[in-house]
Amino acid sequence: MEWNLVLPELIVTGTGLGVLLLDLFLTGGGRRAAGYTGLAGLAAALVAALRLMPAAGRGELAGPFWQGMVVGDQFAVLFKVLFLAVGLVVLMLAVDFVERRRMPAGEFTALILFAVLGMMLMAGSRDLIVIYLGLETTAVASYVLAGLLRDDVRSGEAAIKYFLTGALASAVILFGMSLVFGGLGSTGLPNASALAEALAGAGPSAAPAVPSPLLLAVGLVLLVAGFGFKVALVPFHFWAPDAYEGAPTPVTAFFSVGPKAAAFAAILRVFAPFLVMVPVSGVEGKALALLPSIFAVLAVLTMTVGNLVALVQRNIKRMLAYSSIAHAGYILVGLAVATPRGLAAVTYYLLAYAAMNLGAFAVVIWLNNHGTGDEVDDYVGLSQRAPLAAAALVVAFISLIGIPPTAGFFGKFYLFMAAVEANMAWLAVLMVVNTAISVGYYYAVVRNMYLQPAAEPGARAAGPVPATPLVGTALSVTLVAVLALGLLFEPLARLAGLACGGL
Amino acid sequence: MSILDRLVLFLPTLGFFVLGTVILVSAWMVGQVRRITHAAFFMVLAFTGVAGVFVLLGADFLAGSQVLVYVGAIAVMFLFAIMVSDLKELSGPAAGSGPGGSGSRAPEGDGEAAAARTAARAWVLLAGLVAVAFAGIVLAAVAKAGLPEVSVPAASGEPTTVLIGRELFTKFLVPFEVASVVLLAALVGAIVLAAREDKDRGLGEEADSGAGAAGRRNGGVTA
Repeated sequence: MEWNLVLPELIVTGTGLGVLLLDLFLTGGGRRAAGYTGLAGLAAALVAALRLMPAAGRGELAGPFWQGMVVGDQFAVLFKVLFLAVGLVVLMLAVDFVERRRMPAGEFTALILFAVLGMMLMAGSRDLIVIYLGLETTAVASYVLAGLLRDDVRSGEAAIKYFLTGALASAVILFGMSLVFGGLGSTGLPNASALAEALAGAGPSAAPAVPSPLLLAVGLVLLVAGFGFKVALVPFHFWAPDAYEGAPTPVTAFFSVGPKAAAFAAILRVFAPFLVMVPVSGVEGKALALLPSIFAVLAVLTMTVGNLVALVQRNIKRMLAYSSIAHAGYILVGLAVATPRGLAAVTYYLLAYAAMNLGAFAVVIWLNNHGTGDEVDDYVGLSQRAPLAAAALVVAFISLIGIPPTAGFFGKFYLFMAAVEANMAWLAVLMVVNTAISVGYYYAVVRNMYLQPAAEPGARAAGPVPATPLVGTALSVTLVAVLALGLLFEPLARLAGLACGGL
Repeated sequence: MSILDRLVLFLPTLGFFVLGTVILVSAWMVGQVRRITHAAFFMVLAFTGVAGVFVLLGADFLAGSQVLVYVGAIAVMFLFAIMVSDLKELSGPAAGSGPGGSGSRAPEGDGEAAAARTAARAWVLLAGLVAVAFAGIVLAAVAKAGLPEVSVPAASGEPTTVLIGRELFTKFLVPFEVASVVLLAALVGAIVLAAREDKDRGLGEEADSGAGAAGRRNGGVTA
């Protein structure tokens, strides 16, 4: 069982090493084989992770494995499946792009695989050391991925900005983790019930009392700031637009979903016990009880600033960067309400967001592969040139806005309900207002595509844009997922609830 | 208890404060000196001080690896980097304040520069205040924490190497293996970013995002 549990990680690592080796023997067009190998590895790992699902559901994998460094609860397995799927879609989108822009294919594939490995570790451990190492694996791979377009100055700028802020964030997270370690007396995180016992002093089990809730609170606030950098919350977001704009587009797609969802998984893992625990008396307890308010303030700032600044963006990657900041704000609402339902809503929203954002990026990459620029004005008249791409982008945007039959609607609806139930209707109302603002910038692109004539100056004359099999598959998968996640809302929401119940 | 005994008991504390002062002062000097080579050597001094603190804590292996890795390898790498990049002096905010700084200040736009300096000073003051407040909170939390006494295995005189090795390959096996992947990813990344383009890959063809360059910073408000 120990080995089965880490089988997905082992497959991904092995494939990464294999791709690096294989790349030595590839030349010219054969370099695509590196990408195909990576795809095969991720698919195999995905199957391995899916096979863990039933056992995780029965709670057979909860026990401490590998000296308590790895857990296989439903939460871990659910997120591993998500990360592997994200890696698979991103790699599918990237193979053509990498070849066309002459990026080093072997290294690109291996780094994506290592980043996915780090993400899986972040969700699959209860130990601060492993969570930190997972974070760092993802981060190191991401810094390099951002700079892989070596003939493009902006790519280098993206890499160095991402690296500097990322290093600072890592330092803050480490400092916070050391204080949390001091406060808990262990690097292992408790689950909610164990924590409640420990905070109460003497539990029925031999759980050691928490030495210092105050130290814990200070450490957790530092962790909020550190993880805030990683998921680009306002006011820790300033690096994101430049990094997203400069990075190669498939890498941008990856950043906006992969590491972000992984950081949110780590946030859930670390903070959930403190958010849903029974309140503790005294000053220390009050300090801990401030956490939801901090999340609420960050949620309001993040979604408002993200949406307002997105309105004035002319570059579609930059606009999607601010859109992604705004979505992180919506997700925070689930943490601010600090109820089990809020946490489940966060989990469901992460699934929905991954599908719809990758869908939008799939279209951007598809068009970019055929010479369409990344400016919003380059999309003028797209409905005539590439009706399928335009329609696909509309579906992704409908979901990002949150209009009914799509996953985005159910995600927002779930968060909204969680906020209302927790008597935080003001937060829910702010979310709706922000959603209304967001229509502005998504619609601007739709208007360019459908209502502006293609002959307008600034539009680039280009032929029809056939999709390659890989990009086409990736786009279809994400769009089907956008609709399927919406239709399967009931079972998925229940699954998310069960997964978060074990935190 | 004789005076001598008291003195012996007090020695580690005295050593800690001496080392702490050395570390803080040299870390401060890293940012203050004008010559980057001097800054590198002050950094070496700070690293050595940290190694000394490890010795006081009875962590002999950590002290040794601190000297080998930081004082040795990393400092040498810094010096190599300085040597290769032919960067004799740092320019920047410190210009004009240090020795030999005369002439680096532009005569024109003095008023603007002064305003910028005032603004910078205000920011430094604000950052200082925040730092002091934060340090106060953390210190108060630590003081109030009543952290449990942990017995240091090394106090018995046994070398810590054995203990660290055993822990690393049992309890911390998974983190140890993951750390190797982090290092591998960093290695691959460093090589791919720094290596020369080989003829097979060449320079990328005309970038298609050329249209993107013009409107790049439009509305790049970072709020």
